Amino acid sequence: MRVVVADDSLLTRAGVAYLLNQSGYTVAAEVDDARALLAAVHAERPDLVVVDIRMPPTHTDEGLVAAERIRSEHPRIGVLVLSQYVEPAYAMRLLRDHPERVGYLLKERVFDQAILVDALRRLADGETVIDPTIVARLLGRRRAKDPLAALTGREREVLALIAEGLSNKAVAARLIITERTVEAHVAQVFGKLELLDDPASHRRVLAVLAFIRSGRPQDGHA
Amino acid sequence: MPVIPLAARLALPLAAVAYGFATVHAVGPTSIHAGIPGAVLTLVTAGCLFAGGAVSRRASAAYAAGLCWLAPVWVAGEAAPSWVRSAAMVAIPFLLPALAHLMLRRPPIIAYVIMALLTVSHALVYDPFYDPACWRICGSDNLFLAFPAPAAAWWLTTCLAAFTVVFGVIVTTRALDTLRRMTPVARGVSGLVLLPGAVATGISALYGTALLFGPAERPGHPLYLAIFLAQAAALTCLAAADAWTTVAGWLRRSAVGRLADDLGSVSLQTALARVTGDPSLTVAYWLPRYDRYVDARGVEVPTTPKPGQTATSIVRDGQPVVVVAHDPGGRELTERIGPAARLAIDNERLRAEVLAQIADLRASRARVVAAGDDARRRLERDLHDGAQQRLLAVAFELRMAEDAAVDVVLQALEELRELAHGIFPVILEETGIEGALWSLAVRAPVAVELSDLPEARFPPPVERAVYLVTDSAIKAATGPLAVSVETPADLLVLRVTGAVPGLPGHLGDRVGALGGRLTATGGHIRVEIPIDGTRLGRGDE
Repeated sequence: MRVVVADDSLLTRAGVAYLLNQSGYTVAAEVDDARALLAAVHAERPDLVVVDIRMPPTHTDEGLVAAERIRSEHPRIGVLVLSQYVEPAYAMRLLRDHPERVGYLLKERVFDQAILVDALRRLADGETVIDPTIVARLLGRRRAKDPLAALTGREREVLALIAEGLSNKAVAARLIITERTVEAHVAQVFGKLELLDDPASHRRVLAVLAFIRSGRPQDGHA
Repeated sequence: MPVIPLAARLALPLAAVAYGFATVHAVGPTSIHAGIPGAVLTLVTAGCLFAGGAVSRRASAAYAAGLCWLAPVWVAGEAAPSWVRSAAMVAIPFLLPALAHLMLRRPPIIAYVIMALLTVSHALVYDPFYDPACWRICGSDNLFLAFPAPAAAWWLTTCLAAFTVVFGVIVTTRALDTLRRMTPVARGVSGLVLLPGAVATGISALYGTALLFGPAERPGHPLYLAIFLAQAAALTCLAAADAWTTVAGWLRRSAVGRLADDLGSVSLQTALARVTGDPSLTVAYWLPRYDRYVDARGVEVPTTPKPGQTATSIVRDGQPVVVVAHDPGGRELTERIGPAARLAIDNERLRAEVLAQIADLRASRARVVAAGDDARRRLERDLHDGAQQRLLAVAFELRMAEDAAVDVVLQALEELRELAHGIFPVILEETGIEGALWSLAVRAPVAVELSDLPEARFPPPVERAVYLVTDSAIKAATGPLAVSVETPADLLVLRVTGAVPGLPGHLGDRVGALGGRLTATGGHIRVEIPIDGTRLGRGDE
């Protein structure tokens, strides 16, 4: 597996590259801005890209823009966006147009080798990766009326893992239950929440995130 | 307006008409003099109108031109007494300077003096008896004759003709040049006089040229006949135009009287533009405290009038009060505005001053707010690029060393992240109101219900105001809140409903700096910000 790492902070870039080398990945290129990243992707055709959301010149959302561009130009390349912001809006923006093979993780989390490797493996498999902190924050937010009140504890767990981007198979492995049980749970959850999305499609991550954020099915995604 | 007894104002035109008819009767109806009655009547009547009006210097010029035009008739008139004919002979050359006086509105003193010297000298030496070119009455009845000197008289006649040519050409050129540089409105007012005037002075120059080169003057000669008829036509037009300008001026002046009524419903500028028929007219108020001119809305305006416009100041107690930039044709009128619209001027000026103060305050508030935002943005960036990056590096090292202290550092990172978010919400700049308000709602310690939010982008200060009001309301809230953002017709309305005891005062400044309004009454916060078509498109595309 060949990876391009893009971050203007030398510490993060070197740290991620070190972990990748340790885990048997090949770091094809290390770059420090979005333009160099696009050039490197074009030249190296890597399998994966790890990119910081905030890079020169404006230090705003260059990484996110570059990620969207790579996803639309090279659908085979998985993109993991690193961020210091616990902002569901960024994650949802990333998922909106290209719901597969994208990930949004907090920077400090990828320094955990297991988490980084797991995320990259899931991206390579065509899954989606959303930082658990974001999902936890959305699920934990104060509400006047809890839209998830009708769900059982197990169903809530399944819903959270789906929001993190796990496939049914991965959920089954995580919860140590059978995939068929997971499928039943998912169908139950989608029915209770009146989510019309196909429980098997890639778009379900965004639909679930939008639902647990606002407490109602989102227009245009239902 | 000067008070002139009605009798005198009626008597003057009547006298003029009588004078014209007497002249025509004295000479007798011939084809040559067919143009005379019209020219005389109108020119002299115009003079009389001026006498009744305000511009006496122009009245005298009009009288003089009319009399000079009649002079040749009197010289040739058999029935006239010799003193009349002698005086008329001296008067003839003054037609040209009198016309110049009428047209160019400045007495051509040098021309008057030169003409006087030439024509008086000529009268002293000219004996019609010795003049081979004399026509109709050629007896020795020049009363001014001191010593007959035919050679000197001929020489002086030539000088008179030459000066007529030179001065005629100068006046005609200047008149045409003035006409060319006028704005269309001015051309419609003063240009009416200038054009026939230029033709008349041009013909005078032609007459002088004919005398210099051509045959001696014979009334029946086709050249002189043509010159005479053309001159009569031009003068008739000139007189008619001048009379019309005067009458129109009167009409406008009486309209000034109605100005007071108009001013109740429209601005001074609109009322004046309507009354003067000059749509380019602008009114600027002088604000001594601010050392600048502003329009009725309090917006600073340049002090120099636009090309082709004239500026008239209305001065009170030695201080300028108002400057009216208008078409040159409207000067006399503008000078009269002062007293007529004093109250309106004072009212509008006060209002303009207040509006200018408000605009200044708003600009200064906006600057203060922007400076604060810049400082917070820098601080957030410093935190992100400095402290947060270093903590990340420390966390990495500790994790590599499998040190348990990594959890402490991660906790510090978490706290630092929330601190940076509170200092400046990066999410707002990148995703707009929708993403940023959701971010607030998700973090909120109380339940926050958000209605459908606009995904459109708005100018950054507008988005920031909406964000900060919501943020402050959430921080101060003691119970659940409902937040909605709507954008009905050029307005952004933020509503926050719920238990919010109070909001910081600086939020009002922020909203006020955008020309908006923040009201908070019993559990309802409402922010209105004008956005007049400045939304910038969808935020996520």
